[in-house]
Amino acid sequence: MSRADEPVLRRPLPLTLLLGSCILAIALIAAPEAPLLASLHRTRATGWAALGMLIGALSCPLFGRRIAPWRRAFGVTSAVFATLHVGYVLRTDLVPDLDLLIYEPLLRAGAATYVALVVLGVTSHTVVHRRVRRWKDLHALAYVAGGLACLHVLLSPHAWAPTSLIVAAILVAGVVARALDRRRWS
Amino acid sequence: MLPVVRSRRLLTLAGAIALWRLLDLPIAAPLVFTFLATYLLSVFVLRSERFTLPTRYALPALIAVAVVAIAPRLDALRDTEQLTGLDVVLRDRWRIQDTPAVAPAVLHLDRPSLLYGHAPGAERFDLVFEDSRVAGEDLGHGLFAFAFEPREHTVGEVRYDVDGEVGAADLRVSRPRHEPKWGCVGDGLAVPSEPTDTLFVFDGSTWREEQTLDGPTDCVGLEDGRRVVAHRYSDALSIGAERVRVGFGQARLARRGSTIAVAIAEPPSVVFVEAGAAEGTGTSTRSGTGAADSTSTGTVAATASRVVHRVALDTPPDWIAYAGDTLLVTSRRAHTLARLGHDDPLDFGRPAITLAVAPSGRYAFVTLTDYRPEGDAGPNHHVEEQIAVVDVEAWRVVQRIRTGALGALPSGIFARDDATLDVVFAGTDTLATFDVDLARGAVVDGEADRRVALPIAAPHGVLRFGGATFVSSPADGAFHRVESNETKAFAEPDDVRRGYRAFYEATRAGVACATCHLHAGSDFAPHDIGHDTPRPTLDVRGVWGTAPYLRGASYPTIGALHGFAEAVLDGYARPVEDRPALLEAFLASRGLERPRPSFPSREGVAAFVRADCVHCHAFPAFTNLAQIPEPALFPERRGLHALDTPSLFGVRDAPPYLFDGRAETLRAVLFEHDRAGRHGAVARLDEDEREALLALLEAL
Repeated sequence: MSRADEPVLRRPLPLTLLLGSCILAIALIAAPEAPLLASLHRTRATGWAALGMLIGALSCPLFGRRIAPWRRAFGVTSAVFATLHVGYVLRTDLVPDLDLLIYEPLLRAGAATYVALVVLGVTSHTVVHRRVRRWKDLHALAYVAGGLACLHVLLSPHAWAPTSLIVAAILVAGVVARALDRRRWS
Repeated sequence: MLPVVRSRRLLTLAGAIALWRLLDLPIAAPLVFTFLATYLLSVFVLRSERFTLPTRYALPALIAVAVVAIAPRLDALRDTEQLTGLDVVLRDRWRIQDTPAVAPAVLHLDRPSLLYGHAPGAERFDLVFEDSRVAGEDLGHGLFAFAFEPREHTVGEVRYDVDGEVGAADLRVSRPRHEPKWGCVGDGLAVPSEPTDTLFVFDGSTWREEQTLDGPTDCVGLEDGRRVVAHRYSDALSIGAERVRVGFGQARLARRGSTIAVAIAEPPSVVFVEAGAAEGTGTSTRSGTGAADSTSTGTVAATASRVVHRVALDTPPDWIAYAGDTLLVTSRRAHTLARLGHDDPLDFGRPAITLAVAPSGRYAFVTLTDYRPEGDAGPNHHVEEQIAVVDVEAWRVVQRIRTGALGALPSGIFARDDATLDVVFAGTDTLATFDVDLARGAVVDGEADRRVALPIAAPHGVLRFGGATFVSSPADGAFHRVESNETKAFAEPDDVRRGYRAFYEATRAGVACATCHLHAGSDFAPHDIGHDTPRPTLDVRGVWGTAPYLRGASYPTIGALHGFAEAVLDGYARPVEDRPALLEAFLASRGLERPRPSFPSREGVAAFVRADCVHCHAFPAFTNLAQIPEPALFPERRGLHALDTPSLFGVRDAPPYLFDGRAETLRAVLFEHDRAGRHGAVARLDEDEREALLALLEAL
């Protein structure tokens, strides 16, 4: 392995989890006092945290191979935060009927993204890698998750308007960066 | 080996998209499952190495599959994923999120108004016009208020200046247009045009325009030839050249002898003015308050007109008319016709569109979109337009004349005598003249002796003058003289005017936008438009630029509502190119009517922030344009509908409140209908803060 390919950190997962959790904790503490607003605030904070980590995972190819191990760390952290997000959503009456997960585009896109993140998260452990054949093929699902997350944010009524465009741009840039990686074409 | 593995990944994606296409579901979410299915297929069925392609072929293959699979289904995908019109929703949201931001989105040059700017941390916020500026009043928390008086500024592009940083304010400018509606006959025919501060006067041979005070709404002629004009945005009533202060928000006038009754919106009341005697006649030149000075011919130098009496009302009066000595008053909000001084109003369940009294004073004629004495609400969007004939002496409805066969939306009525009526229909551009035959029964169908298709659109007013019938059209800025078939237009057609007509035009089902959104306001009646409960009609003035629309945010654009008319109300008989865009243009030209805008207090803004209202009703538009599921806000509701966060501009005039009209007052919204404590945090406010918060809402 050349020096240029040497990972920045071999085991970044604890670090991303720790840093992400600290940022999330600060965001959660800053919740408004009113019960509904506090719940909405926590829902949004966890959602943004999950999205941020997913963006991190998808944008790793932009920064070269040394950052490659971070992709999995960001991805797993994103799945953890997404689980928190789903927990808050269900607790806040934002999904009064589970049928809405099928019929409401915002919730449908979010639920599908969560399923993808869970699959990616569960299959990210080294033990699973040894057992699951061609797990890297499976992890192309991250791009599907990215696209659906983009749709989820686009439809999200509380999102800052340009967010979905930023997520989409990073997603496309990540795909293009990977596609243009000359070693793949050799 | 490396390129083979990588290409398999691309092929898995391509396979997932192809499988998704085979599912024939225009929904994005199943992609996750088709991806997993494709992966499992490749691993366990196709097994390993046969499922490969060199990467340089796999990537184009993926792109080709994606294009072939998605492109033909793009429209369906856009609809099912609610992406249609999302650009408008995001544009409106971005307009208020991108600080410094200014709201409302439209600057109306026909009326004084309050605008709000949001620039967190700013010390100074000005709105900059061609050669002038308006300094923002700092209300705290980054919110600034601007009092805009159009007469003081030349308005081209509007910019902001925040602490020296200058930029475009992203405001749509709505310029005044001639809109003659209802008028009067005295020493000539006169019809005011409220947006342009103009009085159109016809003396029997020629038309002329006279400038008058701000926002003329109605007029009456005095016996001595002088003309009395009411004004919405001035506190002065014009009696010839004389000005009498009666209050802002003057709506309609009625006259009996030298006594003039003025219906006032703020505060709801009727003011009686005794017109002083005129001292002479001649020609006077007075200083107009509009674009130019004007010359008025008539009786001048009247003296000592004065307010003699003021009667407070519970709700703002709409139409008033004398029937003998009795003053009749209609209330749009209460749906009533009342005799002033009597406590026995007739409740129609719908507001009076217009009111006329026979010259004898015996009968009053009230046009209505519906009236069911038995109290039955009727099904969704059902209307049964009619004229209620009221015997003023007996004080009861003696006949109901259904007008559906004559036209739609009876917007103007003129009683020639006790039995002969001229009625114009804004929904069908028609005039019907017919005799009222009270012997026929209690409920009859109107049968016109004469029915005329008018060459002017959305007629509102009808008057008889000099033996001829005149009809006015605010949509065209024009008048039509029926007998000689002459039309006098004071304006050129444009999208707003075409949209005006589109708003009033009836569908094949006989319902127009204006049927419920009476004159772009509300009929204050509950309608079931597909929810599980009837919901009060929204006032649609000033809502442009706050997408998405309706309480459930179910329409991304105003124009998209046209689809409802096409699908549910049988569409329109008259083909119009791009009707949705015309409706958008018309509604962008309708602003809030605030006769006397006043700044909210800093204390009110502080209470608003402290009660967490600002999180959803965010500055500067007092909405973040977001939606919240009903149960999240009101746990007792288990419906699946989302509730759109409404802007609070004009909230004072838009009762009843909340999604189903459960709260009659703003106080009830805050302190009675938030049992779960989820609609803000007013519990933490003390009494002074609560009053300050209510005062803020009243001022918006």
